[in-house]
Amino acid sequence: MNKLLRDLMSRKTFIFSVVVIGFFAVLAVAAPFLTPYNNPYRVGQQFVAAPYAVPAWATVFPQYKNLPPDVRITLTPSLAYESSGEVSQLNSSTLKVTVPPGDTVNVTFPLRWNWSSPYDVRLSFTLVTPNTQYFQVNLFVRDFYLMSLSPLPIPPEVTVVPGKPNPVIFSTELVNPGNSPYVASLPVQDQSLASLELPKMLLPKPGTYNVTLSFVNTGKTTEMFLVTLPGYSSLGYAYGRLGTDDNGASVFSEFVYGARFDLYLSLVASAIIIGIGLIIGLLAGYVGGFTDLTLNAFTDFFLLIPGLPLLIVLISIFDITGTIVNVNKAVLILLIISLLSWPGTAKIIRGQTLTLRNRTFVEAARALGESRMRILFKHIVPNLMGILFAQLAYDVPGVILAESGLDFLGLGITEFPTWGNMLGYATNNVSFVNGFAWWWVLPPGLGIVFISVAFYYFGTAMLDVLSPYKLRGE
Amino acid sequence: MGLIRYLMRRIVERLALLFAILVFNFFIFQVLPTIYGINPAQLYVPLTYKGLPRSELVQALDRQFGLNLPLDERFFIYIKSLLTLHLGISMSYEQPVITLIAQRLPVTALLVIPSLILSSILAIVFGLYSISRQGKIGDSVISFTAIMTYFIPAFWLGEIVLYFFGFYLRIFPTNLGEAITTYNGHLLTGFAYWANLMKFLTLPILFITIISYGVRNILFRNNGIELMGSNFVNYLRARGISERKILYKHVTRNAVIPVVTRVGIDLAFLFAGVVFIEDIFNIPGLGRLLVRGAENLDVPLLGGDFYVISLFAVIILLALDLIYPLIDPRVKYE
Repeated sequence: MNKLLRDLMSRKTFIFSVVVIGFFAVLAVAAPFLTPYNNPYRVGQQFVAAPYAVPAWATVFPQYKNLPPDVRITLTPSLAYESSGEVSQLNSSTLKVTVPPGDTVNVTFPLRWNWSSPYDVRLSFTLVTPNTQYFQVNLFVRDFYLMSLSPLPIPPEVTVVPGKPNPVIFSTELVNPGNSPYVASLPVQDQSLASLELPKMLLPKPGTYNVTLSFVNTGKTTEMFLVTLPGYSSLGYAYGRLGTDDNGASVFSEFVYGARFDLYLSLVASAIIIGIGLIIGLLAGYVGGFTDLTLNAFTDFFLLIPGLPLLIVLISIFDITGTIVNVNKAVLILLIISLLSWPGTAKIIRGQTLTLRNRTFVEAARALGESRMRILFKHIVPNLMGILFAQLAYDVPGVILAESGLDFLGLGITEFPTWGNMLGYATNNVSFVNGFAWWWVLPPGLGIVFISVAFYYFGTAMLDVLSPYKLRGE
Repeated sequence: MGLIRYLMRRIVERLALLFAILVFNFFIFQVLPTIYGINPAQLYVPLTYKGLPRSELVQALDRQFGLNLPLDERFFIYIKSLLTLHLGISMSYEQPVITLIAQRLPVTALLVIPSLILSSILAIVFGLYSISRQGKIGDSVISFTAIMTYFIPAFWLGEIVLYFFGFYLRIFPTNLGEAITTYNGHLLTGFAYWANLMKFLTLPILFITIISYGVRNILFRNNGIELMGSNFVNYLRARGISERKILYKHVTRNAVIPVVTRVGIDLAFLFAGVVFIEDIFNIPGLGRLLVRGAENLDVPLLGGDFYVISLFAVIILLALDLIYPLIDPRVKYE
């Protein structure tokens, strides 16, 4: 065993393969701890940042330098109000604003912005209004008259209930001429674009911008408003380890869960392939005669029928008919890929069994009167172990490539991330207009290449080390 | 005598394979739906089809293709229609399947045959370099690259290559329709047509070449290296023949045999292998037809396309068997 290990460790390619496989295995196992989003294709887990956000670390490159991250802060009023009698701090998160009759009090919250404009701008606060009909609260960012709150339902004013706490949310994504005086003041053809243009106008470049709440009392008595400190939040263009896709979902989560699924599927499929290949190969090689002839013809048939078209045809046909029996797509793909990929493995095992069967030690065992079963399981199968391990590793890349190909074509899994459908969606969105989302296109492809090469080298090392008869021809 | 026996055996084997493919087609497209209790005629009309009333179409198809007959009678009808290439009508294209396939076969051939030739040359040239520098850094780099290219997903790298050379650097046209028509939409003629078509096809052809040479390269290299240590090469060395001459004349002649076999197999599966490339580069070939058929759940198209692809594979494999004795005379004596 020790010699085996030493032999393995002396191979650079083996160390490379163990490192790569280990890395992806850790990613796959630790997926739930690495990311909070277990299925980023679900609508609820999208828009964690702006669509096509670059990875956070990419902001070291000059072309991404000023891109904003996701921002979520609570704004505080400028200190000047502390002394005035009209605005006072009720507690740490609430302001009390007293407005004399016929007067207006402005409370300004400075917002320090260090980046280029964000994807959207959201402001939220709770407003407790006086119990009268004669007031209005206006929201400004810089000079843009974004929102007007009043007890009377006259668009573009937004209705609030007098004398009660009202949660107020302003979002640039939701603005329309009916809820924003600024948008209503625009020419008609610009109104529908306002939600896209507003973030660029409100926060055009790094600087300090004022968010102003203006309290207007049109009544005849002094009124009191309570307002919580406004929370500011916006989705940014720099997010996480690997940015976001076209739906603003985390690419890192997709990558990690894709690795999890791909590894799981390919290992299970390889095990099934080995199982089928071992049974057919052993039967054909050891029993021989008519069994061999039939099984060999059967194997040749599956070997010579074009694989990918057959895969496409079978998936489609099962899809049409399977809607009735309601089969899980992932299981279906797993089964079909395994049932189509065993011939190569079976042929190799058959060939090896044939040569083993004619070796002297097997003949000796036969001469000693050992039963066929005993010879098979005591002498032949143990000597096949090297090949079995190697085939297990060799089959993994094939399965990953086949499954990814199906997903890429949109014929496979679409409900949750796999490397294949990540590539499919990513490359469908590669265009001259939105540029090349490298943080989205590259990881799954590189993942497939690296894990395939790693498993290939792993298999080669296993074959070299475990095969007792030195199949490598030394 | 040995030659005739070899040829007879091969021909019988390939005919048996063809029959097996026919039966397999029948099983997938006729028996499977029947097991699930679906009238195959229902499958012949895609769900998205909007045209004639569905039930009338289904009845007409039933009558035309005998789909309401018992399975055993249907078997002979189906086999006969496949053998005579009566593959039915594609409802999503509203054309006979055989017409669609006949249109697309040359396109795929134009794509694959040049790349097959190029990649074989590439594999042999790199292989010769590897053999002559066995174990040195150049050999390792070439072998690693060959293995790497084998595992690169075609659909991934293809899209990246298309983006950079087509859209970003604008070296190659990216749209077949734009490439072969004039600005006002008329089809180009004569030399300009072919020149522009080949300009469009250059990128996919080069791409297929690069991702497919790996297997043949490794095959050629391993064979060559094994031969370089064999007895007959030692004998040639002892006779004082130069290493160059041994490599280029004797070893290459022998090492190229498995490469030729492999080229034959690749040729047989050529229509199967370029599904992704046709999908990415938007080339209307057989592979793309298959994907469209699958997307539209167009069963006659799927069945016909799959059958033609398998049929082509069988024919090429048979042709390979027939010319194999010329390449490797040793098979006569086996």
